[in-house]
Amino acid sequence: MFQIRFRLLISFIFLILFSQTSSAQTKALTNTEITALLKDAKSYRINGYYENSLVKSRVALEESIKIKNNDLIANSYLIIASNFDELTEPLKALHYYNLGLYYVNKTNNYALKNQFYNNLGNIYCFDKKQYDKGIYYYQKSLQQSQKILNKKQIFFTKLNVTWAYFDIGKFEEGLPYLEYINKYQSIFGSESSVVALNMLNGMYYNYMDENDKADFYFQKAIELGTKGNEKSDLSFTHLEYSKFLNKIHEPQKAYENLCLYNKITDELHIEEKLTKTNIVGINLEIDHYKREIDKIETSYKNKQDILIEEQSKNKKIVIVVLFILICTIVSFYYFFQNIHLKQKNKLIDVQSRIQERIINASIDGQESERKKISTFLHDNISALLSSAGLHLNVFTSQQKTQPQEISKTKEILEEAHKQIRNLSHELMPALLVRFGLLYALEDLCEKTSNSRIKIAFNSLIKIKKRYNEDFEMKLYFIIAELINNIIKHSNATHASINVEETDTSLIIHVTDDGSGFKNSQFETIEGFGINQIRARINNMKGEFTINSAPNKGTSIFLKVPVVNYEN
Amino acid sequence: MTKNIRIHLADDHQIIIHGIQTLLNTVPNFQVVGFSLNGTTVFEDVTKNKADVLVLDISMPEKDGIEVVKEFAEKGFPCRVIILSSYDDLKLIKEIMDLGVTGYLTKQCAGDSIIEAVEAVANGEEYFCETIREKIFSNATKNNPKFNTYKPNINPLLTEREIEIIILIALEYSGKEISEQLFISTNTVETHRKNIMKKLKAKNTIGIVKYAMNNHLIIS
Repeated sequence: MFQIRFRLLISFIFLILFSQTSSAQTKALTNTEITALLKDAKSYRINGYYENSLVKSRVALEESIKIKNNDLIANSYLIIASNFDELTEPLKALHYYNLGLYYVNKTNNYALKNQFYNNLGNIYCFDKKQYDKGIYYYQKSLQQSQKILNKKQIFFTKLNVTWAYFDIGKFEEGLPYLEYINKYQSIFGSESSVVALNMLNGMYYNYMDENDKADFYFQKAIELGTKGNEKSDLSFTHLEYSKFLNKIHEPQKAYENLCLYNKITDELHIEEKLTKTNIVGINLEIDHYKREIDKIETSYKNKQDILIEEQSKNKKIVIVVLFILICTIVSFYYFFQNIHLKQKNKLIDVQSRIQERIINASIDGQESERKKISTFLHDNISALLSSAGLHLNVFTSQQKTQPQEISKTKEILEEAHKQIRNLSHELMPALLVRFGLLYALEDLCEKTSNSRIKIAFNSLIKIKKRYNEDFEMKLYFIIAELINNIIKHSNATHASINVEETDTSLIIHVTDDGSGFKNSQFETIEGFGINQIRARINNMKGEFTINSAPNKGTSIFLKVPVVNYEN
Repeated sequence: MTKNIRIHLADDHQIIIHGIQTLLNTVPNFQVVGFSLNGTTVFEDVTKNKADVLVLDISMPEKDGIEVVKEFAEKGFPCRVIILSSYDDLKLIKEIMDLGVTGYLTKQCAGDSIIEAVEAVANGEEYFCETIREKIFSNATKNNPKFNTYKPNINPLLTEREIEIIILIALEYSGKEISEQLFISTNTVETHRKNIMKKLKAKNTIGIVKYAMNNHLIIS
C-alpha cells in the first residue's frame, strides 16, 4: 500500500520537473535585447517609419511574451498602438492600448501606465468624442503622473482635461485645470502648448462673456499659432474665434476666421491624406502585422491557458499528494498508536491473567489444603480424642470414686475435641460434603440470618442435587465470601440468594438492600475480595457482573458452566 | 434380670471402635457382637449377628452412614440405630432422624452418654446427647419472643427434656409440631407429656401451661 503511494509520489515529482524543463523550449531573447528592440521601434515611429517600427515592436512583443515580462509586453503594445495612433487608425490603436493596459496594470511602472491612460484619453476625447470616458482616463493618467511626480506630464494632461471639459461646455469643471496650466505654462509649457492655452483662455472668457479678454486671448493664440508649427491647434483656435465673433455680432470677421479654419484643416487633411496614401501601400502589410500580433497574442493566451491549466493541475496534484501524505502520516500515527495501545493492553491483559492465575493457584491451593487439614482433623485427631475420651470413661466407670484430675482431663479433652471440630467445620462445612452445595448454602443463609439481617435462600433446583465436589466447594466459598461482604460492608437488612440452573449453567443471583457503592468503585475496594472472586469465576469460564449504586443496594450475578457429579 | 443388649459398631477408625467397645463392655448386660470398618457390609453384618443396636458413624469410606441408613430405610430396619458422629449440624441430624434413626450422639459426648443412649434406644426411646438436645431446643425457640431464656429447674423430678416439652406446650405448640421441632416421634412427645402430667400431678395440659407460667418458664 505504502509502496504504491510512494511510487506515485515519485512519478508526480518527475512529471512536475519534466513539464518545467519542457516549457523552457527555444532560447529566448534577454531583457536588454528586447529593450533595445523597443528603443529602435520607438525611434522608427518618431521618425515616421511606422512599418519598421511595427516590425520591431512585433518581434519585441513576441519575445517579451516568451519571457513573461509584463513591463516589456506593455511597452511593446504601447509602441504598436501609438504607431496605429500616428497612422490615424484609432480603432486599432484603441484595441492595442486596451491589450497593453491589461499587462501594464500587472506592473508598477507608473510612467508607462500614465502614457497608456493619457493616450487612451486622447483617443476617446479627440477621435471618438466620448469625453466622459476620455476625462476618466485623463484623471487616471494624472494619478499615475502624480505618483512619479512628472510635473510636465501633469501639465500636459491637465491641458487636455481642460480642453475636453471646455469642448463639452463644462467650463466650471475645467476652470481649476485652466488655472493650473496658466500658472505653470512658463515652467513646463512649450510652443505647442501656448497656442492651445491661449485658445482655452479665450474660450473661457467667451463663456464668461468677458469679450475684451476673450478677444485678446484668441488673437494672441492666432498670432502665436501663425508663427509656430502647431497648425492643428491654430485651426481649432480659428474655429473657436469664429464662434466667438459670431456671438459678438461680427459676422465678417467670423467668416474670415471660419475660412482660415477650413483652409488650415484642408491643408492638414491633405497632409494626412498624403500620409495615408503613403501608408495605403503598407496598409495591407499592417493588417498582416495586426494579424501576426493577434496570433502571437492568441498563441500566448493559449499557452498561458495551458500553462495555467497545467499549473492548476500541478497544484491539484500537489494538493492531492500532500493530502495523501498527510493521510498516510496520520493513519500511520494512529496505526502505531493503536499497535502501541494493543501491546499495552496485551501486557495489561497478560499481567491480569498472570495475577488471575496466581490468585486461582493460591485459592486452589488453599482449598486443597483446607480439605486436607479438615479431613485430617476430622478423621484422625478427632477420632484419637474421642477414643482417648472413651478410654477415660472406661477407667472412671471401673473406679468407685472419680478422681478430680481425671474429670479435669476429660473436660480438657472435650474442649480440645470441640475446638478441633469447629475448626474442621469451618474449613469444610459438613453439609457441603454430605449434602452438597444447595443444602450448604441454605444452611449458610439460615445460620447467618440474625436480628440485623435476613438472608433468604431460593432455589429452583432440587435441594439434594449434587455437583462435582470441587465445583461445589469453589462456588460455596465464593458465595460465602459474598455473604461475608454483605454482612461486613453493606448495612443491608435483607439479602437474598437465588439459584437456578439452565441446561449447562448454574445461575446465582446475590442481592441486598444495603448501602451499595458506585459501580466504578468496586474494582478498587480492597478487602472485598472482588478481584479474587472474579479471577475464580473466570477460571471456571463463568460470568460475573456487579450492579450497584449508592443507597440502591447491590446485585451480583454469577453464571458458571455446570460441572456434574461424577460417581 | 435385664435382657442382654447386642450391639454392633460401625466406624472407619479402629481406635474408636476399640474405645467404644471397651467402654460398653463395662456394662454387664451390653454385648458388642461385631463391628464394621466401612459402610458396605453393615446391613449384612447386622442382619447376620442379630444386633439390637447399631452404633453408626456417618463419615466412612466407600459407603457412609447416611447411605447405610437409607439402605436400612429401604430394606427395613434390622435393628435400632444410634448415630455417633462428629457432625452436629441440625439439618443433617433432622435428615437422618427422618430416615428412622432413634439416637444421635456427637463424638464429644460419646464417653458420657453412649451407655445411656444404648439403654434408651434399646428401650424404644429416642435419644440425643445433651449438646444436641440443647441445640435442637434453642433452634426451636429462637424466634419466639415469649421464650424465657432463663431456665430455673424447679422440680427436680423433671428431666431437661421434659422441661423443654413443658415450655413448648406452653408456647402453644401442638404435639406434632413438638415432634418436628425436637426431631422426635409424636409417640415420644405423648409419652413425655404423660410423664410430665404425672410428675406435676396435673389433670390435663392446662395444668402444664399453668405450671410453666407460674414458674416463669415462658414470658406471660
